[in-house]
Amino acid sequence: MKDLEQALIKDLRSEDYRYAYDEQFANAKAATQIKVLRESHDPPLTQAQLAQMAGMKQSRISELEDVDYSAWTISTLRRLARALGVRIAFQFESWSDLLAEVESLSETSLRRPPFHLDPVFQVTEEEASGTLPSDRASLMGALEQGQERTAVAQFVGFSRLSEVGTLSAVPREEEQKASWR
Amino acid sequence: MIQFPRKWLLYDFTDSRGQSIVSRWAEEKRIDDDMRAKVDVKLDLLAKLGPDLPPGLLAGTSFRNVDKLRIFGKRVTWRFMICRGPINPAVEFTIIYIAQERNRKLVPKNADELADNNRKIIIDNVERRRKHERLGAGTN
Repeated sequence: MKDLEQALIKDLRSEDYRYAYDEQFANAKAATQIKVLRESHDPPLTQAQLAQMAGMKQSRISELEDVDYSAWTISTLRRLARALGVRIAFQFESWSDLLAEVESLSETSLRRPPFHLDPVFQVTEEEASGTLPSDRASLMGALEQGQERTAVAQFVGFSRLSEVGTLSAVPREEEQKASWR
Repeated sequence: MIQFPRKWLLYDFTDSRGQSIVSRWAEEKRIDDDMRAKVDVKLDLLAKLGPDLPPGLLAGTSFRNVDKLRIFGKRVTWRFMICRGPINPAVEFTIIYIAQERNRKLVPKNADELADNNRKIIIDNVERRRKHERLGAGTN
């Protein structure tokens, strides 16, 4: 078990500690992900360009891209998601999920393909002609059966499902880049 | 190939008795679990992602070699003064001073200068720092 994970298992037993840790971590992660998605956009976006696409001022994007920003609203996040071509998800999580989230956090783990580069939604000649390539067919099948972890494992290229701790597991960077382009 | 994030090493400046300034600060100011968590998250992020990825994690000061990390408490805002290195700037950060901020001004006023002095003390004597230990949840 990693040192940080071990320390957090002990520290998160304090209620005040765990809620403060989670809140600060979530704020920092959201701010960092906006920056990562903006900069990994093809072509990379300036804050001013993202602001224009989201119908905001550049100063607002600058405010949001700050690890200490805490006044998030769902409507602001939805506008940003739409401008970046991704979706925003809201869900309650268990505390053990936080451990994996902290452990796997990296620039790569924060990247998400915009809809038009998402491999699942790429229309190919085979699809147009009614035949799916086998790897895509199995990916679609896993998604249809609600096996998100299996689908993610196939998408990011892990050979064993046990290697996928969470949906934000670190993928193979080069393969991921290649699959988006 | 899976890319593992690069890890940064964190150190604390120590007082003349060898105690970390971070643990002394937590003891003397009776820092509660809410604040301990806020400090730990920021320093975990710095150790895990370095200074450039999380936006606004570190802010500059009037001293080129000294940055500050902001910790917002319920009543008090703390500024952890941090330098890269100073022994191996490629992989290390050292917490060299802890100041308060009141009305957007550092207390003490010359906190960044005091921080830079501590940085120079470490360069002269590497024994004046020790590996940073996460504050963790306290016993208060």
